[in-house]
Amino acid sequence: MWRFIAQRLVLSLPVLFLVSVVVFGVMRLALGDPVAVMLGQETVDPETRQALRAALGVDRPIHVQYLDWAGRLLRGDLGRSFTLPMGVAEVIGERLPVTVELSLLAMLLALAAGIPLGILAALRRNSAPDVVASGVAAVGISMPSFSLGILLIFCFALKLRWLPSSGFVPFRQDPWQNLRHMLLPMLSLSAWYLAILTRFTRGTMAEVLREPFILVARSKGLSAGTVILRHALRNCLVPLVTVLGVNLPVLVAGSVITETIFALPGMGRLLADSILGRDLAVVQGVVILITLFVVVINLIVGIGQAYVDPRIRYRGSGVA
Amino acid sequence: MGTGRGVRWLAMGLLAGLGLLLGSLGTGPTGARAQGPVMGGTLRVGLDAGAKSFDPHFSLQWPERYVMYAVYNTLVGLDKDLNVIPELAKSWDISRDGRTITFHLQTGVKFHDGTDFDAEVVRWNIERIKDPKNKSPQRLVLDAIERVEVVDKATVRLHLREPFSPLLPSLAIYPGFIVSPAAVAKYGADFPRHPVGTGPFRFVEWVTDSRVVLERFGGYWAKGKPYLDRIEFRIVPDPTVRTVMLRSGELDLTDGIKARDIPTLEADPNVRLAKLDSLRFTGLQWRVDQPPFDNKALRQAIACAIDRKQIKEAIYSGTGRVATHPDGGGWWYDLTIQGCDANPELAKKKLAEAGHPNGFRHRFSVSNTADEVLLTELIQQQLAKAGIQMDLELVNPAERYARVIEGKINWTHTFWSPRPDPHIRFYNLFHSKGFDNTTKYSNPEVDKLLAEAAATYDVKARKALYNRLERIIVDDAPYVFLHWPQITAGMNRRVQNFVWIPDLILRVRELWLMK
Repeated sequence: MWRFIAQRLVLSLPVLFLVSVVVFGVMRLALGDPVAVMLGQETVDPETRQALRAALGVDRPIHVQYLDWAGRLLRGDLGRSFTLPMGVAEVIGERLPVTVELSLLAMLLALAAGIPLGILAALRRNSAPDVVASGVAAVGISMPSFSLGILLIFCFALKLRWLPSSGFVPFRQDPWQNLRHMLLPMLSLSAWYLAILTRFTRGTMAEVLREPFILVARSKGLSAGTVILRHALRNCLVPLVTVLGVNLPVLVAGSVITETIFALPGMGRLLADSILGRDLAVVQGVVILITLFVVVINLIVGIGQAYVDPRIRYRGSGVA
Repeated sequence: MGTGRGVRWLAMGLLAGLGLLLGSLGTGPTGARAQGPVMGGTLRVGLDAGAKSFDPHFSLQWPERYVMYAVYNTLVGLDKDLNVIPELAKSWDISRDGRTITFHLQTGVKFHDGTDFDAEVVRWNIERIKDPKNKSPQRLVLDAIERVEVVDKATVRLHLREPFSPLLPSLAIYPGFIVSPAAVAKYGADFPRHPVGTGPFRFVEWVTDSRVVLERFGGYWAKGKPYLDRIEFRIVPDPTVRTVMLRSGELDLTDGIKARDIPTLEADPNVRLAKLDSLRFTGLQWRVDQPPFDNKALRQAIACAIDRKQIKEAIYSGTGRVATHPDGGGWWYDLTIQGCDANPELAKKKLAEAGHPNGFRHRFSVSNTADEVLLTELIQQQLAKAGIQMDLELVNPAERYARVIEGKINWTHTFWSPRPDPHIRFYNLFHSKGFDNTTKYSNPEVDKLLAEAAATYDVKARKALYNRLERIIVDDAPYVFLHWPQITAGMNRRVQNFVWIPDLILRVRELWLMK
């Protein structure tokens, strides 16, 4: 198992390097002068503009800029934001908990509702529960998150006044208010993920239930519950874990829209704003962090698969 | 009739009525005829996203100013007609040759950190802005100041290179904010996150992209003020959501109310609207130093072909005013300046004069936001009637203006917000050396008029010069002026004492809340 993990870790280093080069290059070459965008329509004389460029170091040749940044990164220094008066690490640190909480809650909701719904639909194919589940999935996949978000705000915050329409309260400060503020965004964000999981579970489960060993298990006298949960579901887990893992970064990225509508100070919004505002330091910091996150998730998914399905474990470690 | 019981009922009724009358004369909840400002309360203000720094000498984003006007004072202030009024400077004298301005400062003023405000502090602030090493975007605004002299603790004298009348109103905005030198020394590069001023509200916290919290500064120099205990700015990027929050009671005040939401809000008993006929202008611009738009007849043709009244009805829901010249208000306003509008026949004639008798076609770059695209498509239809075809190119709004500066975009839309003095905007846009002159317009007569108007303090003379200038601009058409929008703020009906200042920044420091 350890060899497996070590292999995966080593393979991820080139990925990190490549991503950092590509993002750096794209931001600096394709998107033009950061100072012009930062200054917007403010009236500033050319000398001051040039001085600002020099202060940020963006007037140097691109490979010099990259080496300087990469060197600092290896020392653990993410640098200072171009636009905000704080370090990149600090900006990200402020925003990370919000996005992590939002994504986690959305994922948990999607799992808790999606998998049972999928199983139910697979068991009672083409009957009422299946139709409902498929309907929910269709809406979840097709409805854009901003429409759903605004709809939820209009319904629950404005008309019913049950929940606040936007904003964020840190969990440490007031857990109850934190959850109240997170409920609508969580629903809005998880809709798509829930739909994906429902559909996927339904499909995979239906396939597995057709396998001969299910019939064998039932004829052995095992209860329906044991057959479904211990045997059928376990066989679904490998692809399910893969789907979970592959779509998790999308969940984090998709939080941009949700965070903007609900005014949550999260990382998705930070990334979007920083790209639009040409805050190159923050963009690079966030992208490296997300890449690291994806790499780690893939690693965990790989380990998860190997754990659930012993065949992968042995194959992966080179033992025949 | 007239029985004892009847009389008793009548008497009781009268007494009850009298009691009610007397009771309502006291401090009732409506308070309208009762007392003046009520002390206390927390005001929740909706703020657009984008705030990056609360150091006024380096601030670049619009939302930052809302907070800064509560935390800091400026040397002078502005009233609702854009006249300069006293603030930290309680009075001033201008020498006869216009080269010296002597400010007499308020005394007994302290910063939030306890340090004193005096003439030396004013000098330090001005020199901080002017120092090229600091790279302040406001540096050249104060270029007219050659030297700052501290006469005594309460008197500071500015020596100008030559008379420059726009300087005084400029000291009511960014370059006039007074920050605490001690706090800048203490916080260094972190000062933008710890603003310390002399204003009525002290800075408490800023959670980026979430909220800014201020609380009353007990040592404020204007006794009895401020009225509020606390102000919470909630950063909500989407103006639709801010409007919803106003209606649901989560916000007490916000601006950015869209014209189409006005009827709904006016029907809401808990909300009050404050409308301002603004000086902001929206329009089109192009490069006049290169073909095809270096052709004046062509520019005039396009200006004539557009139907601004239709734009006002369709895009702005009938609010705001049609604009055919740059400035629609202020002491320099001239209603009689009329440019060309809704005249496709004249447009076709000018088009032929310009050498395009069979029509004209060119690319137009538009921000890909719903509002801009809608406006542009309407203009496209209007121009088509005169034989002019616009090929639309959608652009990312965040980088559109940067590309205009870089010369990569030629024909596009624009808007400019008002400044407290006409010189500032006119110079930046129309002077051959103006920093925002992205049309590359250059007219020696305009340059001369601008220099003359800046060199005199006589308001009547300045007005005449600016009006002459505006007529030239309308004729030369480096911009096509379309509309002066109405800007609307919405507030809970408990919010009192709201006044719109024409520079479109919400002023929160004088507000108070009814119970």
